[in-house]
Parts: sequence; C-alpha cells; structure tokens
Amino acid sequence: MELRFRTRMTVLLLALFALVQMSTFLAFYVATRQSAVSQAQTRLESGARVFTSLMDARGAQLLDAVQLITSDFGFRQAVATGDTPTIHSVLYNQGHRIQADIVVLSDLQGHVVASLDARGQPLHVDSWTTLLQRAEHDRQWSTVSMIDGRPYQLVIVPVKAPTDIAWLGMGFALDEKLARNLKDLTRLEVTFVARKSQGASWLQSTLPAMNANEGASLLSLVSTTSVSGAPVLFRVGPADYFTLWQPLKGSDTGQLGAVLQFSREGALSAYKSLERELVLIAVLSLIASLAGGLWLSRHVTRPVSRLAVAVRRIEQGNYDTDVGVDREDELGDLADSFNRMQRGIAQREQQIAHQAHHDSLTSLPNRASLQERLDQAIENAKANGHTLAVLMLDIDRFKEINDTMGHAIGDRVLIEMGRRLRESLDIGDMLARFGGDEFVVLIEGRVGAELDRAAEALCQAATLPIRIDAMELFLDTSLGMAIYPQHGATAEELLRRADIAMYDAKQSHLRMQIYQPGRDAMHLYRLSLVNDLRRAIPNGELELYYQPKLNLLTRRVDHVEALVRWNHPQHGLIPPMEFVPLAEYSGIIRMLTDWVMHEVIRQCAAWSDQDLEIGVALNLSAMDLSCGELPEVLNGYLAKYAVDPSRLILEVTETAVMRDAVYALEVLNRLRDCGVQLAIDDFGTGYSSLSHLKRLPVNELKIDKSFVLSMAEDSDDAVIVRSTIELAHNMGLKVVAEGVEDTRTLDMLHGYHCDVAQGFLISRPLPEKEATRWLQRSQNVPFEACDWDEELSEA
Amino acid sequence: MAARSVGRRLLIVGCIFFLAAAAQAAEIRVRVDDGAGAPVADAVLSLNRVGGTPTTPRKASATMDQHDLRFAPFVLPVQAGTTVTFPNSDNVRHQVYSFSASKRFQLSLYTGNHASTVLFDQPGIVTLGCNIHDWMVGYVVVLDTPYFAKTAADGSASIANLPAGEYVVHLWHPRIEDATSQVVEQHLVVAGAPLQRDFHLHLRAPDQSNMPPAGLEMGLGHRMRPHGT
Ligand SMILES: [Cu+2]
Repeated sequence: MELRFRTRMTVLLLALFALVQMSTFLAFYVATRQSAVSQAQTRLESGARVFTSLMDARGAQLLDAVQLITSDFGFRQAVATGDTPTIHSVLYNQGHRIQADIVVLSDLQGHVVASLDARGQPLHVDSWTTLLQRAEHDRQWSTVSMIDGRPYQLVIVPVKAPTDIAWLGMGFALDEKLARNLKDLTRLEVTFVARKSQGASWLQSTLPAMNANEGASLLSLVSTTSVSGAPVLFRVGPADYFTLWQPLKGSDTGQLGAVLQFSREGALSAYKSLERELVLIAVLSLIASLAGGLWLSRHVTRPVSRLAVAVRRIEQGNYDTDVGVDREDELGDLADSFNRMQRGIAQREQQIAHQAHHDSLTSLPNRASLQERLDQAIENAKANGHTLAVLMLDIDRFKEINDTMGHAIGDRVLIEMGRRLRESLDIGDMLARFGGDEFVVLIEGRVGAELDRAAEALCQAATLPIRIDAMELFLDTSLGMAIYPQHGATAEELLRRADIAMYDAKQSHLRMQIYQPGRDAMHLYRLSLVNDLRRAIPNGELELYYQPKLNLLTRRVDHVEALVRWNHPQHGLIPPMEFVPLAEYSGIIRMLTDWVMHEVIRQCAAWSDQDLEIGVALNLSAMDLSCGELPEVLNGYLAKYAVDPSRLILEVTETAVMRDAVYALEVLNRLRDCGVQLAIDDFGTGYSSLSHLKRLPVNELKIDKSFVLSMAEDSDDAVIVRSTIELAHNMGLKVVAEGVEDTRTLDMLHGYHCDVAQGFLISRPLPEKEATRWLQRSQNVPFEACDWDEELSEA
Repeated sequence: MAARSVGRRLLIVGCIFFLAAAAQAAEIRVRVDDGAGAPVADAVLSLNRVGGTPTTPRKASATMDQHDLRFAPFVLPVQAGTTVTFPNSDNVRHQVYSFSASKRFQLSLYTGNHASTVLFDQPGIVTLGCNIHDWMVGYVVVLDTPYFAKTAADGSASIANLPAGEYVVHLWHPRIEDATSQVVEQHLVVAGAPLQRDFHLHLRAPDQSNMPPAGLEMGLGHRMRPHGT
C-alpha cells in the first residue's frame, strides 16, 4: 500500500534522526568500549606492576627476616649445638614478627630440624630436599614454590658458623588472604594459579564464585596460552573479565603466577551513566523530532490535502468553495492560483453551457435548448392539462437579403429581429433561434384570444421596418402556429406542424397561419415528389413545352421559351412552380438542367432540319450558376448537334446572379464566350438595380409578368415597365415582356418599343409536336392580335 | 750402560726395603692436586699407624694468629693435646668461637698481646669463626697421630722420621666433599725407604661469603701495620 505523503515524510524525518542518533550512539559505544579495553589494559598492567612490586617487597621482607635470624650469634650457636628449644623459639619469634606462613630449618643434608606454620605449629614439609638443591646453587634463594601442594613465596639462606651448618627457609603463603590484599591494592581480581605440565592444577581466587567448568576453562586458558601481553576477555558467571597472566618471579619456569582480572562491567561502569544519559537524550530528542516531524508534515501536507479535496470538488463540478489555505508561502500562492483557476473554470463552463444552449449571433436560446424546454413544457402541460403553443416565424426571402446585401447586414437583420421578437413577448415565453432565419416561440398556458393577441404582437413587431445604417428594410415574415395537444403530442410533431403552417402562410401570402389538420399530408406529398423526381428523367416523365415569343419589330415569332412539364404517373401534370423548387432543394436541378439543355439543343437541330431557325430560351437556376462545368457541357451539346450557339438564350433570375455574384459572373462570362445569349428573368421582383445589371454580360431583360399583367390597368406598373424598357435599351439590352395576355398590353408594349412579347395572347406553351406545327404555320403569317390565334389554329 | 743403571736402581730399592724393615725411620713426600693438575694448598696429610699403640698426647703448643682480619694460618693441624695460642696481630677486636663438637669455645681477643690459649685434646675438625667478622674462617685440625703435614702452596708436603710400619693415610681439606677427612691410602707400608705419593682431592667451590671484603682487607692491613710493629 502506498504510504501517504505525510506519513512518509514523518517516517523519513524520524528515520534520518534515528540514524544520526544511532550513529552517534554507536560511535560513543565503540569509543567507550575501546576506551574501556585500553583502560582495562592499563589497569591490568599497572595492577601487574603493583602486584610484582608487592611481591618484591614481601620477598625483601622475608630476606630481612632470615638475615636477621642467621646473623644472630645465639641462633647460630643454638643451631650448631642442636639447641632445639632455642631454635624453635627464635624461628617462632621472627616468623611471627613478619607473619610468615612457613619457617623451616634443616641441616645441610636437608633433614628438617624445625618447621613452623603461621601459628607456630609444627608443619610437615616433604619436598625440602628438592628445594635445597636449588638453594645450594644460589646460596640465597628467593622463590615461589609449591610445598606440599600449596604455593609459597620463599627465601632460603644458609646458616653459617662460619661455614654452612644449616638451611633456613621462610615464606609467605600465596593464599586467599594475599589475593584479597592484592585485590584491595589493585582493584583487580586476583587468582593464583599453579601450572603443571599436565595443565594447571590449583587455584586461589578472589573471584566471587567459579563453578567447576569456569575454573577448568580458566586453568586451561592459563596453561595453553601465554596470556601475558594483551588482556583477553574471559567469562566468569554473568560477567566478562579482561584477563592477564602474570608469572611470578622466582617460580620455576613460570609455573606459578597470578591471573589478574578486571571486570568489563567495572571498565564500563564509568560510561554506564553517560550511556544512560545519552539514551535518555536520544529518546527525548526522538520524541521531540517526532512531534516536530508531525507538525512539519501537517504544516506542509494539510494545505496539500485541502488542495486535493478542492480538486475532487472541482472534478465534481462544484466551484463555489474556495480553497481555505491562508498562507504567505508557495502553498498559499498555489491555493490562490487554485482559486483563480476554479473561478476561471466556472466562468468558462458557464460560457460553454451558454454557448451550448444559446445562439452565438442573437444570444437567444438555440435549437437544442428549445428542444429541451419544449419537452419539459409538454411534460408540464400533460401533467396539468394545460395547452401550449409553438410558433415558427421566418423572414420571407431572407436569403436574398443575405445575397444582395451581404451577410453582415443579414446578421444585423437577424439580431434586430431577435431583439424585437423578444421585446414583444412576455417574460415567461421562450424565444429561440431555430436556425437560419427561423425563430420559434413557445407560449405556455395561454389560449384563445390571449394567444391570438400574443401572435399578433409578434407579427407586428416582425413587420416593422428595420433601419440599418441609412437603409430601411421592409421585411415580410410568415408565422405558423401549432398548439398542444390538438396539433401534436411531441415536440417534433409540434415543430413540424408549426413549420407546415408557416409554409402555408408563406404560400398563401398570409402573415400567420394556424396549422390545419391534414396539412402535413401535403408536406409528406412534397417529400414523395422529390423521390419521384429522381426517377422522372430516366422514366421519361418530363416533357418540354415551348411558348412562342413574338418579335414586336418583325411581328413574327423567331424565338420560343422552353418550359419543362412533369407528367407524374399518379398525380398527373405538375407545374414547374411546384417541382422546380423541390429540384433545387434536393439538388436534382443539375440533372434537370442538363436534360433540358440537351433536349433544347436537339430540338434546335431538329427544327433546323425543318428549316425552322428558331431561337430557344431556357431557364437556369441559381444552383446551375454555381456549377463551373456548365459551359463545357453546353459546348459539348452544341457541337454534337451542330447548333448555332446564338440561337440559345439562357435565362437566369436576378437572385440567382446575386447569390454568389463573383462566381456567377465568371460562369456567365464563360457562357457568353460560348456564343449563347443571356437574359435576366423575372426582372423587378428582386432587389437588384439596373445599374447592377450593367456589370453582367447579359443581352436581354425579361420584365416579370406581375408588372406586365397589370400594366394595362395600373399606371404605376406601366410606368415601371416603360422606364425599365427605356433604361434597358439605354444599356443596349433587348427587353422581353412576359405575361402578355391582351392586345392592349401588346399595343402598349409596342408603343414602349419593347422588343419581344410573350404570353397567352401569342400562345400558351405547346408540346413539341404542336409547337413545331405552330411555328411552321406562323412563319408565313405576321402577327395580328385579333385573329392570329384563330388563323393559326385553323391552319 | 742402561742395563747397569737398572740393575743399580733395583739394588737401591731393595736396600731401602731392607733398611726400612731393618732400620727405624723413613720419609714420605706427597703432592696433592685437585684432579685437574692444580696444586691444593692447606690440605692436611695424616698417617695413623695400624696396630700400633696409640701415642700419648704430647704436650705441644701451636699458634693461631689473627692477622689482617684473617686466621693465620688458615689451617692449623695439631696433635691432640696441643695447646694453641690465639694472639691478635690486628688492632681490631676479634671474638673467636668454635661450635665444633670436638672443641667448643669462645674467646674475646682484644687488641694487644692478650693472647689466650685453648687446649685441643679431642681429635676432630674445629672450625673457627669470629663473631665480629663473619667472613673469618679458620680450622684447627686435631689429629690423634704425630705424623701429619700440611701442603704448601705447591701442594707438596712431607713427613720425615716415619717409623717403619703400616699406616692409613688421611687427607683433609676445608673444601673436601663430605667435610670429614678422607682415607687416601689404607695400607701404607713404611720401611726404611722414602715414599713418594701423588693424591687427588675433589674440592667444593670456595665459599665467597668466607672471603674477607677486598677493600677492607687492604685498607685495614696497610693502615694497621705501622701500629702493629
Ligand atoms: Cu674477628
């Protein structure tokens, strides 16, 4: 298990301290032990010296005593005359005086004449003759010898009268008394040992108690080793002794000696108290360092633990509590940084949460948060039996604003719109930007007129003109509304149906539409159409109709506009107005345009074969202009059918050109380079101006039929048409008027010098065969409005 | 010539034997060494007649002087019955004693001619010591025969006028091995002819403690001599 930092720190500190203490103690211990050894050695050596000199002194004492005796004339006389009582008295007297343990007088042959012990009692002496042999040699002999198994320090001298007449010996026993005496003087344990060739055999000791084994081992130690020199350690009972062997002077080849011993305890006793004090100090300081270590580690680790706790708290998403470390050091700094970090994280998290739930442009709740809120609201409504309304609003043709005025303006429009919508709503209502120019409003708990009023307020706010810089924009918006529970039970259903209602509102040019039950079937129908459209071209369900265009100058038809028709197997004929937006929406438009181009050029070639040099106009969608391959494809078809490019007129709407103006312009230029004519379709419905058109490589302008249809009745429109024609002519453009349905209009257009007229007055769009026939007949007849149609049909 | 001289010598020996048997006396000469060729002085040669009637002690006298802190002579052989005079030639006091069994005595010998006399009537070795000067050793060898002599420094000694007969020959010396006199020849037949003998004595080493201190001898000797004369 991993130890906690604090524990480890404390343990480390303690271990370090203990190590220091231990090494100190060890050093002390070793030093004292060494010192004790050398002290013991010194003690032993000096003890040995004391011992030796003591023995010398005693030897001298003995010598004095015997000389005193032998120089006494009376004694000599007594010896010479065999006066035994006198001899005894003298020997006893002098022996007692120095407390000799043995006094022996013998004749020259070694026969003991008198022998006394310390108490003056007769003492049996066996080995006297042997001793005398040495004495005769040395004449005055100091020795340490065994007499009858006991050791004595002896002095043996001759008694002379005046030649040798006897031998006198006097000695001290090496007994326990002497040993104790020596011990008192030297403070050493003294053991007298007599060594024999077969091991030491005798002991007299001051040691407290020696059992048989210890005695034997001491004897063997003495007999086998030369203990003299360095002391050795020897154990007796519970104690160890430094042991030194001191042979006695005058003993036969060192056979008798003293074992001097100094107890190890004694040597160490001086250090014992010091050692105890040292241990006490070590223990106390260890405790102190433990406390200090604990304090220190707590001091360091407590803030760290707090930081760890704080980190865990932050991990759980709790940023409210600051780390409570109030310090001036690095840890304090760390804690401060921690607090700052925590606040930073909280802020950023809020930001992220905000971003996740809000639209960055308008700062309104986004689609996701709407979804959430809506789900919640439905739950509530379900539980409480309330209703709620989902309102979806978008800006009509907002794309055109973006395209013509730039995204910056578009963004400002959206921001302003959001702000306004928000202002018009109650606080409890929710406004979300749903995507693009779509806004969704969630209104809870209001029904009937109250709800209507809220929706009305919303519409009014939306349609107020928006002022951007110097511009005032008039926006149309469409609002669709779906109500829970009658229009849907889920958020998805409510949103989809509000969307459908909005779509319907847009279609019906109403500002607001409540969802009509069943309308989503229409929606589904549109979706199914997209799928059907994919199969329409390969299945041959598409067909081109051609509407003749009357050249007002020549009064003849030399151009037609190709219009695509979809003959749906189930739903019958579907007008382009219905399926072209679907094709654009689903991307099928490319395929569609390709098919139309091919069909038109093939038709041109076919008409050429019938001597009908008819120009054909076809419509390009905005998406076609974003396709760079279009000119190549066009060239390919033209070359394939050997059709003069100038017979082809490509019509694009203002908004299509505006959408991606730079790229569209490039594509237009390349198309013009192919040799085809270009026309602006539906002019007047968008936001582009004539001056804007000047930059475009177009040849023709088609005035939207909404102006032309009403120009006969509406003078405003007539003015617009007229001035447009004039301006276009000024720019060198031909003008085509669409939606010509009566002769009066035609006349007016003629009067305005419009170049081409197109409309039901001239002909409705005709399928290929009819159109061919129509064209063949019309070639020979100039157009007269009154009867032309009839004429042609008759023909 | 050689044959003649041998014949003559035999003739002389025969003559001596004859003379000894026939005549009254003869002379013996001895030489004593220590066995290694060194002459032994102060050895006492004594001859005891075998089967002869013990001679009555003679009323004789001898002198044992103290001179230069020594006994002089060192060894004095006397026949039992001899009175020995102990004069003092030193100008220091001596106190002569003997613990010997044959004659025990003590003499205080003051300076001057206060000579004392001691009768030695029992044969034996009398060791003389001085109670004042421990090193002083002297011997009075008391013999029960009139035939004795003391070897000179060259180890020679002679006894003249020996009556013919059979003798036991003894030798003694202060440092002789077992302290008593040694029989060196059990049957010495004395006829008329002179006798020549070489004897060997094994002696103990001299006891240094019985030597007078060297300085003392010299100092005293020289200083005292003018006073003494
Ligand atoms: Cu004297």
